Amino acid sequence: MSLPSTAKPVLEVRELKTWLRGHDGGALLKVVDGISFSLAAGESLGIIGESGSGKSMTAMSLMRLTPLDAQGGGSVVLEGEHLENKSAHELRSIRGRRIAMILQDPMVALDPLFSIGDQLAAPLANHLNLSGDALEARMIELLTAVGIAAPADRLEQYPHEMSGGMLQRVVSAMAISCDPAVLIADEPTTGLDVTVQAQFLDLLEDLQRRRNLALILITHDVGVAVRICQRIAVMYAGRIVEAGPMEDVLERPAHPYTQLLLASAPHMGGMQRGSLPTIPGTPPHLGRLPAGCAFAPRCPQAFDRCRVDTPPEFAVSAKHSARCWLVAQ
Amino acid sequence: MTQPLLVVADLKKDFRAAGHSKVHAVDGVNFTIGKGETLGLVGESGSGKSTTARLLLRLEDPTSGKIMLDGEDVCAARGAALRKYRTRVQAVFQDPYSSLSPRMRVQEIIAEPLIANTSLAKEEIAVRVADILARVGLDREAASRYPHEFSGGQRQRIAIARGVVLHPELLVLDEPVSALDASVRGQILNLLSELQERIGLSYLFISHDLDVVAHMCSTIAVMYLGRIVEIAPQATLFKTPQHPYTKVLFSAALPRRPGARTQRIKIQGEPPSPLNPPPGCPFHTRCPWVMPVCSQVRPELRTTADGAMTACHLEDAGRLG
Repeated sequence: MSLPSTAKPVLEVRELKTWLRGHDGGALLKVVDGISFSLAAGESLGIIGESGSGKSMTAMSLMRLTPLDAQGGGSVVLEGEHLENKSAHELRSIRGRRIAMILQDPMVALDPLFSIGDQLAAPLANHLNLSGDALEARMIELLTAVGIAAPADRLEQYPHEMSGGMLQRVVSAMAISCDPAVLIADEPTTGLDVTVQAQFLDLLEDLQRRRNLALILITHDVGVAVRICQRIAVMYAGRIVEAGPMEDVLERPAHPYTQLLLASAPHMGGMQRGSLPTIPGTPPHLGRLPAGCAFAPRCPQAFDRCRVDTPPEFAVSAKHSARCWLVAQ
Repeated sequence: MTQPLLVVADLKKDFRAAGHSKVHAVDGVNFTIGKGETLGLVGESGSGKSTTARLLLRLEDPTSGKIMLDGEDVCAARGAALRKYRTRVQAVFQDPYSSLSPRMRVQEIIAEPLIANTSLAKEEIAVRVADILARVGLDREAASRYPHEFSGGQRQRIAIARGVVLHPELLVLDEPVSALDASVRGQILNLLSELQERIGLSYLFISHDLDVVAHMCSTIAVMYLGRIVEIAPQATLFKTPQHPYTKVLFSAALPRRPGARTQRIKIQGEPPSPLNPPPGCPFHTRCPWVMPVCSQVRPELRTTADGAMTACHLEDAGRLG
């Protein structure tokens, strides 16, 4: 396993910010509020969080696909190149080529009016100038790589003719088609059945290893991250509140939010019925964030300082950090 | 098991598909729900879980079979008898964004079943609504607000309040926490456990999430392509799953802890189309332990051990376990 300190990172994100204006034109919503991490080739980072925590907007910000009226900040460096100053034209030659994405719902990601072949051909023709037999051969190779049987026949089919699991494989084939350095998968298995999900995660892990991809997996389900990620970042209200090696974060969570999130999940080996530990309250509205730590109003261990000062990142151990005043003590 | 409340016998539902073909969405299902108990239905999409729920709620008429509440078959119930049945069996659905009318205030949403089914006076209804709101953990002020003003978890509390306001005996819960965030899911599960304890409700709990089902259910039925392939008490099922599909399903479940990456039983392919189910055992096309007989003869549910039942030829061949 390559660690960021030793290997040269392919992706370096510093203080990434994306602020949006709410529908009512009211307060500025700090959807992504100062995210930093770096990722080396062959590494996998799981970003976990609940809805509204900013994990999907983080992905969109990395791809420079934020809404036009969004205010941004910070830097994204892909293979040594800053993305934040690139023109729309330059970005088009980077997206899908060097940084690619798999979205949650393949039915939305794919156009129902075009065949699988037409859609798979688009990135290959645009980025790699493939055509004719070379294009066809590459498409068949890609579909085979994602475990689709009879690939030549599949090229003629349309999205509605395939199952959700198959379509997610097609989308994956498109994502890896130009050999990107970074692959972002945003809730790639949320719509899939349990057994199909397991098969797809096997595929994703296999692709990541064989192609030495830097993988960012965004999920609300801790189990998905446990299954294939080496590192974990936990998001709450637009910030990474805890990050580190997967085992450290999940076995020895330092932030009370991570602790409660893990404890509140029922699990097969757990006790039946009885009361689950819960997190009081609901995730905060991003336009009405409290002063200090955003989790303080729900935190059973909060003390005075938490309601006043925003905690910076504190080291729990060498590679494990948390934004919590308790860690500082 | 305690005294049975609801008994389902050989329940079948066919839907007509294109041409003259039929989909056997529910294909001969049997189970019993005891008073105050929770029966879990697990399975993947197309397994017939939700159709079973809709049949129990009498939102669909079964093709054949029986649904007996306190010994009385309700499949033929019409008019007043059906309304009476629906006061005893209520539902909470998956998506609290589509199951609540955006044009009604919470007060009206919860009062509607009372207005439709009882002759209570306006004041009494208001008292009942206030009472139930407190029970599900919502403020009194919630009554005058609209669903869009609430979060997903709070909306599910409103849906639960509407579901229990008539004091039903059975609540059908179809993926009640699947749309909720992790930190809110526990709150709703706790609320459902509390309500069950306090009013002695029975639940039919449908979910694809094995962790949630394990936590909530006393008995669990595993469905595959419209049939129950295994049904067993919670502890027995999770300790010693018998049917190959149950084993595959459990081994595909996501690990909750880093050390818990389990040995996976890898299978190929996806569930076959219910339009064209394979002959014999519905799982034989993907089963790692398939035998020649499996593609020819449909296995029936047989008692194995500890009150567990499994529909598998391996059991007859003495090769299960």
